[in-house]
Amino acid sequence: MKSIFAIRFSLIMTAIALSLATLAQKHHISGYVSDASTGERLIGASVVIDSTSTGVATDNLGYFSLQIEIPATIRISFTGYANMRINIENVTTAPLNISLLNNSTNLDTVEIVSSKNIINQKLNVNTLTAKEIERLPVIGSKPDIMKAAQLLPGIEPMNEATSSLIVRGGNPGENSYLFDNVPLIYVNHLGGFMSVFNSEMINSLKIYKGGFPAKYGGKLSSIVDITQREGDKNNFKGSLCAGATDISFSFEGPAGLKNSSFIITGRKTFIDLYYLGVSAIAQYVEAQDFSILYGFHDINGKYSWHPNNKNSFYLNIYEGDDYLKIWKKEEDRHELSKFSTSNVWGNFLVSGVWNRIVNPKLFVSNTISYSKYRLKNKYNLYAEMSPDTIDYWTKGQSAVQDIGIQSNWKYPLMNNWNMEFGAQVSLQISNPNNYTNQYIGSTNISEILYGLNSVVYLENKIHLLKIINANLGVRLSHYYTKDYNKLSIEPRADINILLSDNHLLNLSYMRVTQNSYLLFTAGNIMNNEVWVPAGADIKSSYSDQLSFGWRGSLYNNMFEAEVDIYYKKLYNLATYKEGCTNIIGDGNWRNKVISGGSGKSMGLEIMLKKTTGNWTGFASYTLSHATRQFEEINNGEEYIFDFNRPHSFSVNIAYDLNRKWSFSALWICQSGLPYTPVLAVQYIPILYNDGSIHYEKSFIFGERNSEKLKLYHRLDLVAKYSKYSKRGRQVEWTFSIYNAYCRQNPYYYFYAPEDWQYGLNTDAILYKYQFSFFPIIPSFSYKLFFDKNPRKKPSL
Amino acid sequence: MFNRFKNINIQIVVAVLGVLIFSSCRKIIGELPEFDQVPVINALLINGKPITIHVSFAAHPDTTGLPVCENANVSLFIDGRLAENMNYDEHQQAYISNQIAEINKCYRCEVVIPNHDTLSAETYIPAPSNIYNPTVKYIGGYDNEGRPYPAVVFSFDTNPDIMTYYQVFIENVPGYECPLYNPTDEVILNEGTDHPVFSNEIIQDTIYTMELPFLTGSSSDIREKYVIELRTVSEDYYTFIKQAYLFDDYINNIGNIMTGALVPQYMYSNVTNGYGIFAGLSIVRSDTLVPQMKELRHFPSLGEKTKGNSSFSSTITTLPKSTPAKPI
Repeated sequence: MKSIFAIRFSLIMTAIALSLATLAQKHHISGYVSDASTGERLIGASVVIDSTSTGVATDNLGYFSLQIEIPATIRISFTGYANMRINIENVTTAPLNISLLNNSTNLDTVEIVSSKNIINQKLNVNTLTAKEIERLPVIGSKPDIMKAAQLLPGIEPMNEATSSLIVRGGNPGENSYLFDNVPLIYVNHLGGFMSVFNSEMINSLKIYKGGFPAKYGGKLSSIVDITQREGDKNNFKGSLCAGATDISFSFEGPAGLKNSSFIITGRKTFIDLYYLGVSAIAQYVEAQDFSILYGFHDINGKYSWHPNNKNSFYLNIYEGDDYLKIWKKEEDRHELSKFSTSNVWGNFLVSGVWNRIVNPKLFVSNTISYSKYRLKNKYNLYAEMSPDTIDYWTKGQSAVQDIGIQSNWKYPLMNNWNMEFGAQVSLQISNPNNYTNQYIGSTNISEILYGLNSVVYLENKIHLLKIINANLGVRLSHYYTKDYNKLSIEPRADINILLSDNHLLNLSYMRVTQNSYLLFTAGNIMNNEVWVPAGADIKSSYSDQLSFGWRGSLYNNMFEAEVDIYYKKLYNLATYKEGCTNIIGDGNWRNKVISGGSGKSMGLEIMLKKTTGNWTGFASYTLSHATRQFEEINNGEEYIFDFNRPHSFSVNIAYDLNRKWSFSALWICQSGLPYTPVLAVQYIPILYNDGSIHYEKSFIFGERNSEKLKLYHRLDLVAKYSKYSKRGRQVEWTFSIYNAYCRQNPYYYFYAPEDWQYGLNTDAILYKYQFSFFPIIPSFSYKLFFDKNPRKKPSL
Repeated sequence: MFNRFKNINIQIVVAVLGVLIFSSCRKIIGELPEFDQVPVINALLINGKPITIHVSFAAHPDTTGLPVCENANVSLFIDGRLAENMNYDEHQQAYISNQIAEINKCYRCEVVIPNHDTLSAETYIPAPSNIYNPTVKYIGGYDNEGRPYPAVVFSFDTNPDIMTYYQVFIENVPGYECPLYNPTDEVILNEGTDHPVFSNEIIQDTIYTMELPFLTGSSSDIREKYVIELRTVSEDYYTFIKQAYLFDDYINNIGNIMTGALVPQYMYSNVTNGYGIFAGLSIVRSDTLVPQMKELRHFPSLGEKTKGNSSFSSTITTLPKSTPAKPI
């Protein structure tokens, strides 16, 4: 039935497209909008035919295409930049390269405008700029885009302080993180307390919660579209930053070839030293040669080259790992033994992009990419005991690789109809469980699974009757493994109805298919995330989502507001079987996974944002309800989703006192996470070896997730001080306080006797305990900028 | 020396450091909600043993010793016929029957307690399977820190056409149960847990040989003695004991900040109008198995280990195929 609907939808959409194609055509112009001083492309700049509301916004590449009647004047604007008008009197096929002056460059001579235009606004999508991200308080006083995203309506953290996102009642593994349009598989550092995205590299962040454009897919709940910065094409500059958890650097500048640039950033934790210090103390106290090391690093680079107005080339590289390592050595007169264990997990990504403006109407972007996530551990024992020597080890690894190629095209059929289409092919190589154990009768478990995912898509961006902006599309996806075939037809519709210049309504529908599952155990600091591919046993999951909303600008664009409601159904979900936490080393790992589950999610989201003036910020509220149902969990009955928070509210306020001092505050108030209560205790019989039966206490649990932890709330504060040194270099101090009033928010509850570490004896009286992390945590960071133009404050 | 490595619990080290960093805290909060007492029937009917039924009440978690019900009318039915009204025995705090449990019979109990609905449950006792050639391998594998752990190897008969359920109890003589460690047997792995409870779902032959590595708590002590107890159990017991093992894991991980919030483990019950388990099983035990001292050294060299797995395996007591172990 659903397939018939999808086919009908596709036919209707094609019919609309064909009918509109018969309309007359005008002249097209296209090009890029960029920053005049750095050459960096600007995302979301407005390109509008003067004195009309007809226009477009530049895309993630800074590209635009617009149909005009010659002669015409186009107006280009972008928040914080001088407004620019260009007269076009002759037909031209050459791409335009438009450079806007930053407001800090020459404030006295240019007109600064707000680029807010309701035409460019969309619902189901939240956007954060680098500046907004920078102002939000986090532990360690360094900005984190995932923590910033968690303040948006409909998006919440999995647990307190983690980077993993729960979007509209979806699992953490249902979010696609696109790094310059290339999927990055793992996004957490430090067990989730920091994200892998270095904010120094981020240009903009868009999160699609529903109404995905047909170009995007592969994950059920969200598309996190992260655009990286380009380096400065004209000047070398950079920064060094030391925070409570890590040190980081950023360098950028021209890269040799004309119109080329590079940017490279990196981070390395401080806490390695802390751990080594603790190890040294432990060695002293226990007189043991023992060391422990825990930390992460990441490095991120981008090379950009625009040899001419038509062609652009990019090369992106990311590499990052977390690691936990332990060494121990013992030696006496007769024996020497060394023991070590190593756990390493992280990502590697490399991609190349070639963008070309074929002609003023046709734009193509080609990408080839390789990304890999792997979790590996190794244990080693070396011992010398005359006359024997032992060198014993075990190795385990779980990995997934993605080799992809995609070609995305843009073609404006007419001024009110832009088509985007393309093809994407990716080969996923999964090795969820590679295990080698070197001992008598050593085992070697390894199963490599191949999955080929082929996608073609078509998007039609149509502007009708001056009040309707619609993106109608379809995505055809085919997933193939040696024992499983899945063809998915995914219709997409995102329709905006302009009520006035400042108000629009939105209606969207989407179907999305996902061909891999993330298995994880929440709260485990040593990452145990394992990706398993869909196959004959664990079939692909899919979801349907319908949403409706309003967005408007109020008080002369001083405020933006939006209200969304959504309903989502998820099918063929998979998760760990109850009691299972890991599959590495288990050749029959599929028996630890249950599939065929379903889920429902519905909610109301409200957001109010102020973006102008000395006081800025945003407030968001989400009312939601999400459930899951698996045949083997909760007696097959539907239960509340593990990360369901019915109410979630946050307000973030930033204030610029002067050029040196700025302040921001964040208050979050959320319903507690659900938990399963213990109702009573009962005796259960345990049969001993002598045939006797003993009666032990066990719990009688209530319905799964039927109660909530107590209310979660906290206040975070940030003060930022910026000044210029005598040499003209900018320095920046950031002071932050996490959980300023030291609220003991529950991380989870558990039931245990008072002497709970000794187990559950029959005379024990049970108490309910609350476990809390993160009391008040003050921190600071220091950042030093290097710039050939020292009096200018670089952007983030 | 190697026991010292055992003291390095990675999770504990990281947990302590995590506590230092994040100053986590735990505290007792709130009152637990009221709970009206609900009757609980527990009975394990073992082939060849007298039948006893334990009747108690599930109660509020702050109850120290759970109340035992002494005034119930307990009726026992065998193959659909009333066999006996059972009497309460104060010493055993249970209702005692004169009947001896037998295989292939259907047992049902009805319990009437004043002010409560009548409780009932039924079960059967499966026929025992026989154990053949039980042995103990001194080295069944090495743990993550390189210490050896032993394994038992034994065969048992089963009928692949009839779904049958089992529990293996590896006894470290004189008493406690040895937990499995890194089992690689596909029948065990097919269950999705690391516990010695399984079915013959994927067994194709009438004889199946199983190797179960286990922890002893003192792996370097080669003087340990072991007994393998194979329990052929009813489906109710299989479901119940599997959950009981998972509940034991749950209890052992309470308050562990590494694991975070735990998934609840619901205890299986086949009692109508109450809680508890009423299940049958048959038991077969091997003789005592003792590794041969002369073949064992404190720690063998790798060169010897990689050549084969027979050096440190010792068959101490062999039960030939023709003389299976007898039920207890």
